[in-house]
Amino acid sequence: MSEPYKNIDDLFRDKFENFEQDPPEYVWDNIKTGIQNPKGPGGHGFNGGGLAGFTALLIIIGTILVYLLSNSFTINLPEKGSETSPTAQESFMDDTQIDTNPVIAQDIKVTAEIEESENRLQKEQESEYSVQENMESSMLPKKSIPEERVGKSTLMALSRTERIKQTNQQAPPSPNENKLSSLKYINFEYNGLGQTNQSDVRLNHKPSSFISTVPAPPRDDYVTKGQWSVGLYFRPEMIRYPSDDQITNYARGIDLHVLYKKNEYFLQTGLGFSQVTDAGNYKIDYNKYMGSYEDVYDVTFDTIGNEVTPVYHTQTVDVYDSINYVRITPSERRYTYLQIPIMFGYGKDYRRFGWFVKAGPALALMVHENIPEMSMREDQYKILNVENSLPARINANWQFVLSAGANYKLGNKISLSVEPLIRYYINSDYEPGKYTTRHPYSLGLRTGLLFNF
Amino acid sequence: MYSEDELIRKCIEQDAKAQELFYRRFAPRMYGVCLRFSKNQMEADDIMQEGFIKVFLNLKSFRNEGSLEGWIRRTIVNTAINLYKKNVKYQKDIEIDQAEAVQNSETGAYDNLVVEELLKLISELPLGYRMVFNLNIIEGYTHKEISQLLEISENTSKSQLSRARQTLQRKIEEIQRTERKK
Repeated sequence: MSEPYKNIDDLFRDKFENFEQDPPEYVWDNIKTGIQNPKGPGGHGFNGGGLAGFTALLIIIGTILVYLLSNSFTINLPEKGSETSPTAQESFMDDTQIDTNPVIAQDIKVTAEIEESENRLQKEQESEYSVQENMESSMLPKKSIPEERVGKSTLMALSRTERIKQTNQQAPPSPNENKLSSLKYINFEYNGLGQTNQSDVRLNHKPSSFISTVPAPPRDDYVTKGQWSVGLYFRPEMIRYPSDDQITNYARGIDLHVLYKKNEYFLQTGLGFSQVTDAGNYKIDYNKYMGSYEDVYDVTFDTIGNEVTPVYHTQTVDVYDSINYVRITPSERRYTYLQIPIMFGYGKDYRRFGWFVKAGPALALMVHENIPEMSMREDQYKILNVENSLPARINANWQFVLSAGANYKLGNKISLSVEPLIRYYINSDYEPGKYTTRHPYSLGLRTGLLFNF
Repeated sequence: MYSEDELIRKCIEQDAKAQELFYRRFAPRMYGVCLRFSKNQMEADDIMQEGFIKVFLNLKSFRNEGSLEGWIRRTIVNTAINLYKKNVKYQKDIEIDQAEAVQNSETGAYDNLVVEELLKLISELPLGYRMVFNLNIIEGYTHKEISQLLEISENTSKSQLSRARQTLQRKIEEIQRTERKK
């Protein structure tokens, strides 16, 4: 018969003192799997070599992108108003300007007609030659190809050519005909490098003597020379962990970035160092020191004179309280990360102000961690167990960074840049499965100076 | 049959048979602890799994100075506390003037309750009440220690214990009334 309980506390304490229940079998299966494949602090399989490889890959990709971007736009057209290459300007002329001039339009029409007739003639001659050749070479009897038709097509082609030529001869000479005829076999080839080559290919549509009088289009649209800048930034950030009771963390960092800008587009990469602090507690199970006594572990006897004297061999034994105590002591861990971003952006500059938006991935590598030792008030104690409430951080994680900001030109070579940014952690920076399962994010404000070259 | 020291050594050496023996030896009692700290069996399974993985991975840090069962139990309780911290997003500190004002009822008629019923009552308690009740009444932690472990104030710990007691007492009385009607 069980004893009567006086209160709830005794009831529960007594009933659960020796309470046992067998767990389901799958629990052991899961534990077995867990202890056979423990996840190391690296978490996502980043080891030293992997990290170095990733870093090298990132830098190489960045360098190649910058190189490709800078070489794909190496068109160095002459400065605005320059007359070093007037023919190049002509080659950029708009067709509508030519068509509005009736004389030019007429010349073009005639030229086009000649060209068309010659093309037809060439085709028909080729056809005739082909037919004749076929007749000669094929095994078919000659009667299968009517002679009359072959002759007729040749005559038609010839008569057409003749007719066009006669038309040209009979037409009253236009005032520009001489010029046109003299320029008829001059062509301007734009070689893609801002220079033109004259060749003996016939001119198509654009008589130069007229076009050259039209002012050149503005050069600004074609100025594609890239600009390099180096930026030095300071960056405070606030990191949020959505699914944990972990309080918001604060990080601060400095960035040294290189920026290459072409027209409105730019690529930015570089190195940054960021320091973040985790505040937690050590939970220490220990026994208090009570004192010590001398333990006799051996007794020997010496005979001094005629007396037998016992000699006690002792050792000091410390005594600790049998009660387990718990001590919670604060612990503040500091971590330093190297951050390597590759950002692609778009921006516009005005007189002094400019704005931009940019986004891209960033790799964060832990380069240093400072984990302080626990502190105890007592001089002597016996530690039974130590637990830290903070999980370890992983060595590398990927982030996606999005920012938008503004520049203000302080001088020809220097600008002030202010950009709020949001950083989304693609994987958590803590050991997986131990602290957070959702993706942290951070909000920051990067402020710095951009030096233009 | 291994002695405790041998079992520990073999577990540290990753002997699969010893690990299973170790688990079988302590699992029933530890699962009882897990059930007390959880609201359902699934949660208890999670605590058990995570707790025992920690035990095996940290077994070499056991100094063999105290009881092994006590050490495992502390690890399991700490795992339950960590799970509690993950689950509690917002904690309201409920200050109470008379935390100890609620006196234990002395009905003297509790002895007919079986442990399964009591376990059910504990699992139905709100998370904070359940944690404080378990830690203080059954595990023997003081309010100061609980406040540090759960990162709450001492008064909150006291008030939650008081409310847990009230809730349990009310529910036990309901059970007794129901049984009397039968």
